[in-house]
Amino acid sequence: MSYYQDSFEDYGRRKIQVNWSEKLWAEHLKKHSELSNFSVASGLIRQAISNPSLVLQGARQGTKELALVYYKEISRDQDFIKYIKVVVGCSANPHYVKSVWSKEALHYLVVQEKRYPQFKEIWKDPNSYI
Amino acid sequence: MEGSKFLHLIADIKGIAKRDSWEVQYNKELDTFYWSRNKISKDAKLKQFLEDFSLYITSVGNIEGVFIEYALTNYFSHHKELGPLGEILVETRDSTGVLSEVQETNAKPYLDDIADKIGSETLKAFIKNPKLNEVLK
Repeated sequence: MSYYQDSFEDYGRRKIQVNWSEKLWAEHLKKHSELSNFSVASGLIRQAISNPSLVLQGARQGTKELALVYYKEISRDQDFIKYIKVVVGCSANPHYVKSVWSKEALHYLVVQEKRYPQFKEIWKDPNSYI
Repeated sequence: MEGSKFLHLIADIKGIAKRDSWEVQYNKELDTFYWSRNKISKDAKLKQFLEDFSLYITSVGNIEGVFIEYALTNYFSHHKELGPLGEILVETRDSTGVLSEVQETNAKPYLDDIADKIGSETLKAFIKNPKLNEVLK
């Protein structure tokens, strides 16, 4: 039985779950205090995957596991974007959440995966700055 | 937040890390590298104004840590001099690996090097582009 468990559906109606052990939850919470509690964490995940600004799919260099990377723009102030990032593993069905956090970055630094050609954009909200 | 306070602190990031007992946490599955206080304050936010790393910064400009995405596949691969630290990270015991005491000791000179790089690169970036102060608000 997972400590933190929830189910979601993304913008493309993919079933996605979060199944984190107590240890994994604690490790995330220590470094990403914005997760606060299960309800807030699920809210951030849901917000990012159900109505994303940008979605990429690919495998990190040196791994074969496909991942979906969801970005959700929350706000923009001049050159800086506040956003949520959710990484979802695709090696099981339903797919599963590997990480969620929010961050603020210069707009051209947001999408880290742009450096890796193995990640392909599969969805983009035309109204987003990301 | 006063930008000048942040710039003063970033110049002493090595001292802050020592004083606040920053610890390394490496997630093999995500290739994410944290070097930070054990528990980040609720008030601290992740902010990124340079390509390779983000900083945890509180609303009053205190720095609580460093976060690097794609650590081994990007940052460490571009800084060959940090190779031994990369090897230590690979050896961490589990997917949310915290370094052992021995590994922390062995990692120390490389963490100092990272602190120097982050401090000087950030200072240069703020001098070159004063608009970066916007992210400190």
